[in-house]
Amino acid sequence: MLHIVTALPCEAKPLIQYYRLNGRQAENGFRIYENEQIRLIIAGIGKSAAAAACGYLQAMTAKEKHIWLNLGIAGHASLDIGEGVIANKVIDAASEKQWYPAMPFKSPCDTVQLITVDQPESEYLGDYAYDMEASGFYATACRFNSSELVHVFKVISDNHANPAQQVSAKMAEEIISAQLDSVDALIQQLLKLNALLMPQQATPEIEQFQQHWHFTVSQQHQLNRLLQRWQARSIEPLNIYHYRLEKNSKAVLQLLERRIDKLPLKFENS
Amino acid sequence: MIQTIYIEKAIFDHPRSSAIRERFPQANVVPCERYGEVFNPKAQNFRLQKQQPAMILAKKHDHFVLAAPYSYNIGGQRNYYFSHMLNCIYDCRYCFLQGMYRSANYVLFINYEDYNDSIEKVAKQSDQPAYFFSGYDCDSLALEPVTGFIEHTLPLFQKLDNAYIELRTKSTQIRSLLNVDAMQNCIVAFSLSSDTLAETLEHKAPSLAKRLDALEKLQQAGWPIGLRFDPIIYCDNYQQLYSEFFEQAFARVDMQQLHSVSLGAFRMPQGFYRNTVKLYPEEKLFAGPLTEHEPMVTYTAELEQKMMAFCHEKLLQLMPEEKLFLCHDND
Repeated sequence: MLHIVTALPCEAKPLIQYYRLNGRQAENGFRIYENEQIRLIIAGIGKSAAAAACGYLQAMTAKEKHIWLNLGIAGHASLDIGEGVIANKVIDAASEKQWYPAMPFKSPCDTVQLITVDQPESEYLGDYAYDMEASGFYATACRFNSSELVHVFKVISDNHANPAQQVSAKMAEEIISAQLDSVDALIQQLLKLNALLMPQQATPEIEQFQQHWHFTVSQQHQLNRLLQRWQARSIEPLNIYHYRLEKNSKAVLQLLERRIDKLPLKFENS
Repeated sequence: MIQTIYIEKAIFDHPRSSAIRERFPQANVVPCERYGEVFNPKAQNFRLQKQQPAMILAKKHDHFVLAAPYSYNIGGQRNYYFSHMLNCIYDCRYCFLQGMYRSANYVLFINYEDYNDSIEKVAKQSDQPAYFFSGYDCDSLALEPVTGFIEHTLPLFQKLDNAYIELRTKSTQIRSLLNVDAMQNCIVAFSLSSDTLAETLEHKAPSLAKRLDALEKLQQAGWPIGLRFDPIIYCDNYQQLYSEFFEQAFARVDMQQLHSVSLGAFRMPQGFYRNTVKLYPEEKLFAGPLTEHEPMVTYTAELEQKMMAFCHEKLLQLMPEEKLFLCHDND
């Protein structure tokens, strides 16, 4: 699933409409919108709120791994209002900690170094974008998944010529709406990457085995690995019926291993 | 194509950093303090990064030259290795790098002069000929058009009379070697696998035919050649596969130019193996008859002995025994 964290309702609204997200019943402290693939949370302003929102979303499906995206507005000294950018480096101004989101794909837009500040930035020093959430989001989301699948997308809302005081909710909504193609292109790249991790998930047959025999945690790992080896070597799906006479989990594991060892092992490209 | 280049601030304006930036003008350039900030964090996935690795330009500060593992030799008693680069542009499924590093990004250490100083010092202090292996943590030649490292380092070996260098490669990037006179103390060692195994396990690497073409050009130019049959991979038809493959390879080899051949069965340190299996659980190679013997994962002892004996015998039908070296890392 894709988890999107925004600070403000006006940042979330274009995404809620574009992806047809439905509001959940009011939850403790957060507004959440979702469909089958996406869950969006409105965190509120600031890095602590962003971190809390990440933790809250992850706890809803604690064992699963998700794609994470922080989307919102940011300031920059010279970039044009409305320009969409992806963070190639996230810097927490207070702690000076830095993170480098890994981008093993062609970025759909320019990338920038992004500094997260505790108070709104008006000087825009250096060639950096400034926001108030990314470091809290990034540090927390990277606890739940690998950095290739955790990204920060910002739309420039203010600069020297157009300071932050002039940014309205309506304007934020409009400039984010105008960047939805780039946002969606990034999301598609992330979904494609995430699909590469499918083989790393538990094999589907494991539940059938667990329904018939009791496996200890250690045996569950052994079973999962044996099922992966079966899939790698066999062209036939595994049939649990062939194991029905085994009295316990140990016997099942032994029989499965013997059967795998008898499977053909060739490397032809077919 | 490199999309992102991270550069340590201390070497941001180094001429080699500038040259590499110019070579990839479309790349995003991101400054960092030390390369470990990008390369070492836990939350990284090697398999995902391998889709499009970034380049990290860094300065190495120490440990330029290290003692090679005991069995890593081609006839010398004093064996060393060095790595001007971490990670490889190829994606070979049996490679230990994917289990050793969290990141698939290429780290290039650009202070080549410091490597040369260390190599020269070690070579001059050595009581016997010193062998230096350059293709341990990367392919020696694959990124040579970008790095120019070998072009920089070979002149040092031209003036060292008791030092050898091995360039281990699957690459066809041999222009920098063909542009200069062959050196008898530089062995260009090609890692070779049968067509079938190269196609299924050595992703993004040149085909066997292309590697043999490169090998032939180098030996015609007078360069000493090495053949590296390591790792030997088990499959049901391994006897037929390796018989035909060895004959195919040796049909292209000029025995006068053959410096050495090495042979080793698939093996990987346990920790690296477990990391690699987590990345590629669906890989057939790891579904084979492997066993964990602290500290390595290898084929079962009986099978390994059988395969090695078979390959050893086949090779001796094609080459002299004194040039054949066996590799086993369980020491």
